Amino acid sequence: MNARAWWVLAKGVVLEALRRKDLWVVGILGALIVGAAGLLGLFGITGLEAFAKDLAVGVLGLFSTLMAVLSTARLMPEEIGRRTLYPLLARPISRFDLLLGKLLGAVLVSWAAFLLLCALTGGVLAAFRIPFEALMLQYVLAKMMGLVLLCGVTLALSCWMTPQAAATLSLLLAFGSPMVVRALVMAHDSAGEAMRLLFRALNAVLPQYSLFDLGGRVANFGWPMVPAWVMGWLAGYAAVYTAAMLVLAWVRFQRQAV
Amino acid sequence: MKTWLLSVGIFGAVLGVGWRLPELRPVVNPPQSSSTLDAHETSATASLVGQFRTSLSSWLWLRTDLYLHNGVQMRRMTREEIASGREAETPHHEGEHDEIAKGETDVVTVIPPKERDFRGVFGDVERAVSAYKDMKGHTHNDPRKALPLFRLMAWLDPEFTAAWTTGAYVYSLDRTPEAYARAIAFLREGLRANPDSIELHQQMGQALLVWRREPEQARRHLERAIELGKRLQTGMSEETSEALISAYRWLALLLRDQGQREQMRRVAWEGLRAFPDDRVLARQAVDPPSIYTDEAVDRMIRWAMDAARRN
Repeated sequence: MNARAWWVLAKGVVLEALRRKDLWVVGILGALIVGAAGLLGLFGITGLEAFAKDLAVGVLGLFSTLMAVLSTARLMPEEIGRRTLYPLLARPISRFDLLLGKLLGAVLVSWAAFLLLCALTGGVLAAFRIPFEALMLQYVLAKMMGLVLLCGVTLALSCWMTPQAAATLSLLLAFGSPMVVRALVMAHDSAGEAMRLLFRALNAVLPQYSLFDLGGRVANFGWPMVPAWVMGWLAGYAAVYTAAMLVLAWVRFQRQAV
Repeated sequence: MKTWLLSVGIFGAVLGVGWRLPELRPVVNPPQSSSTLDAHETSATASLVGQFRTSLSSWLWLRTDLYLHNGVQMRRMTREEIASGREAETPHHEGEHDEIAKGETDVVTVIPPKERDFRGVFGDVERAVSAYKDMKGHTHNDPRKALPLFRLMAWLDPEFTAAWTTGAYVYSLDRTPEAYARAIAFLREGLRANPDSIELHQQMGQALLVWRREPEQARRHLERAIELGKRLQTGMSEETSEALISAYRWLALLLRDQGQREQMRRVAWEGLRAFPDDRVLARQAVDPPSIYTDEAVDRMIRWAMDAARRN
């Protein structure tokens, strides 16, 4: 365990993202948000507050997911492809340290992109005089935890498959797993015993990204804050699941020839 | 030289087609209510992926439904759930918003209640982080707040007739002459975009008759709706059928109020031949004097419905 190495590696990932102008994508997406908001403004915002907030959290969720997956999926394959992995491994750091450092970097880049988008959409909502509620802070916090989970899953997948396949599968899991879980819940009552066991196993294994999305509450009015135990549980779930993903990546990375 | 000519020819053809596009529009995209937009279909697959096959305005329609429920996602029960006797979470009928509530039968929340959820703590957490509450006897947010969304829907897709008809209904909720005027102006705008819409003609006829007491203008719209209905050879959507039945009923009522009872019976019989199961039209067709007993009226209605079916 080498905390200094994690920090140096994470800083490297952030600098690489800046060098590659990844955050420009955030700027372009931000311009899209402002453009869409301008269009909305044409219709008058009175009565559209819920819609504007709904659109804002929807756009934030979509763009932050895309940014997280696309910036994480290429980290390890690029190091291997460009052969920059070997000098890294020649240093006194373990392979697990390397993975953890990369994950931290990916998380920092995703958080930076998400917070930038948050600031931009927050500014647009403020311009429309849409009130902020304390629940929005919980939304941001939960979303940041969800991004850790997403980066963990994408990093693990990218160690086992090509970056394109990892990105595709990660996006499928991010957008498809809530629907799969919904289908499991709907089908559970009419399923046989064996199928029910399978459903339970699937529910436990699938990454439950939708649990980190408080958008439904934030977009509408009068919903209370989420209890502290739920936020704690989300933090624990994200930590445990991400750790499992790191182990999965490490198992594959152990066999990577130097 | 040949390439140059070919390029000019292709460009000209594209330009020609483009020039004619406004005329092609009613052919390739005829104005009709979105009968395929039934996000609450009863099969499990449709219930799950229904939202994916909607256009932007249809998506807005679904979002509007969501805002009326303050973010709580609802869905129609599947056939299996209805067969198993699962209790629906139907709304509380709340007077002025009855129009909104009456369409919600056999609905449940998308996130199940604790007792129907096998996921344990995962389910508890989802209920805590999502917009979820027990919706038995639920109420709705004021639909007037969603009015800009109806305007947006109609602007995005002027041929989405449900946006015009529901928007007009929502305008009318204030029940003032100004509100009725705004509703009628909205319907008029809808009719300009959809001159052959049965739903819009029917609602305009009804609006002019009930809110404005303008029977002659109302009659023109109701007769136009019926005429368009007769022209419609292929299968009608449920919404269009309902609008057409309504057009027959309102026209019959209008004629009765004008003392034209023979014409009223003719219209009702005509409607009854198209919709033999409609009891209101059957009653209007036989037009019993008020001295008749309920049993006698019932016998007459049954006779009229049988006669319409035989024809």
